[in-house]
Amino acid sequence: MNNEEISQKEIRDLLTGRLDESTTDRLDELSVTSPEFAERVAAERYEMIDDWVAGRTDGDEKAAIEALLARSPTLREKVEISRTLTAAAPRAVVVERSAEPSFFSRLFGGGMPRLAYGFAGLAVLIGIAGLAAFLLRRDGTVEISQTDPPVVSSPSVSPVEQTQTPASSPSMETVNTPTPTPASTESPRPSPTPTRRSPVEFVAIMLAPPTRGSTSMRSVKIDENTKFLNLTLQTEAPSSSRYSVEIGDASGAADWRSPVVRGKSANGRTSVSVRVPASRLKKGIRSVRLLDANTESEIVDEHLLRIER
Amino acid sequence: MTESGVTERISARWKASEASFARFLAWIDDGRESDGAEYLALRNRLVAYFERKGCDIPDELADETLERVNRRLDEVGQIDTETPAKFCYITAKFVFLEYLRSGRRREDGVDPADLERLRTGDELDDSDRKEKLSVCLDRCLSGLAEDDRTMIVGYYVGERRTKIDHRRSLAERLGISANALAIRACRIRDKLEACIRNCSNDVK
Repeated sequence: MNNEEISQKEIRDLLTGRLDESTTDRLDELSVTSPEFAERVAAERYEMIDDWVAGRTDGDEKAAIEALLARSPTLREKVEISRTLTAAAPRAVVVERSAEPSFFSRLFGGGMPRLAYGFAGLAVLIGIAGLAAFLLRRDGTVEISQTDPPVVSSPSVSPVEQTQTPASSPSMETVNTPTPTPASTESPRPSPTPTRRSPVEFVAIMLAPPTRGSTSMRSVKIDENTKFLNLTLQTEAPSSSRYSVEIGDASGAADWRSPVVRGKSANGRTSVSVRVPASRLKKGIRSVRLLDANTESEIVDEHLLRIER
Repeated sequence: MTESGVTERISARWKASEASFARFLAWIDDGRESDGAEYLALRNRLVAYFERKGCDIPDELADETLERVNRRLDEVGQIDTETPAKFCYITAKFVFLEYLRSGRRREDGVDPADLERLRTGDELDDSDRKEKLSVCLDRCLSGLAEDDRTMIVGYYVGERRTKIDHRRSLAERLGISANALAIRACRIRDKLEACIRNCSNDVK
């Protein structure tokens, strides 16, 4: 009997003492003589504990696991850690993002090459200044939100008139873009007298491929006047494929799913853009799933997004 | 593990002569010259075996097993066996039977209600314990390499179907099978658990 011939169920039964003596002996021997099989057994033990903690075991298996737990302090300790880890994973995602060194801490501290950060930082600052100047020139009213990521909000815009600014962050940017009337693009800069701000009608958001930091969760604020979330998912999957985007909870239930759309290729990445009615966005942490429309439910990428209202 | 680390750990446990132990390591290596790594890996597998058998002193039993094999090698000069690991397993079975006969195995007799509280977390009446574990988890996650941290957090995000799909997607992105992903996660979790164990002893 070699490692590949042994099923996951047999390993689970070995762990819970539900195999006959002869099979147990053979698998015990393999667990000592084969490093590969020993690793499979160790991995399955974690899965077994996680399943028990999550209430995914029942009947004989549950009883067998509880008998093991009753006599093993080591296993009981693993349960505590499993529970802590499972509960903390979504929080850890947030912490991980917020714990990333700020631009300035990277520039002035840490063991990173400071000169490289200096140049990179300078380039980013110039980019931000250029963007701000561009927006000011067009509209004269720029407001930087305190939310993370930076949000540039604007007077009333029509969803059909939106223009999306390239994201300066590789992970995500949220931009509410001001859209002037056709005449205003050619007219002189408006007078600096205060103008009444109209409500923001859409929020645009871009999520980078998960391999570039999708475990970081970002937030988007939807206020009562927001009508749409324009969502762009970048993926490393091919642009020729047909996709749909689903937003829902962690259990897989969907709040909303887009029609089938095609990806657009640019700069070596594929972008899939959809417009989500704000009324379908539930408050809290939501899962944003890019689905392969050809296979109906194959998840290509998955992101976490916090919806604030 | 560094060479000095290996040597330090082994010599702390071993009473045989240096020459005897060197010959034992070479025998376990079975011609591979692992510099003690094969010994430690085998010892870990023996510890896991004794743990699985419900022994409350798995480390001691693993060391007892290896010591007996070493002694045997000293006595007879050569051991005829398919592989050194197989001979160690056969010895471990005897050590386990002796352990059972010695009556050292104890049953904690945890109440089922206590187990349910353990499962849900309600057993931690002491909120300090919960807080300590949480602090230690954060600390230990921070201490992982970025790739490991991203992977282990991603591995545990989601529930039911989402978690399954997420893991499948993670495995595809890494270009590995679901089994290989589970094993990789297991290695990281081993590190994480060891860190949390040490941390929770240190944190007051």
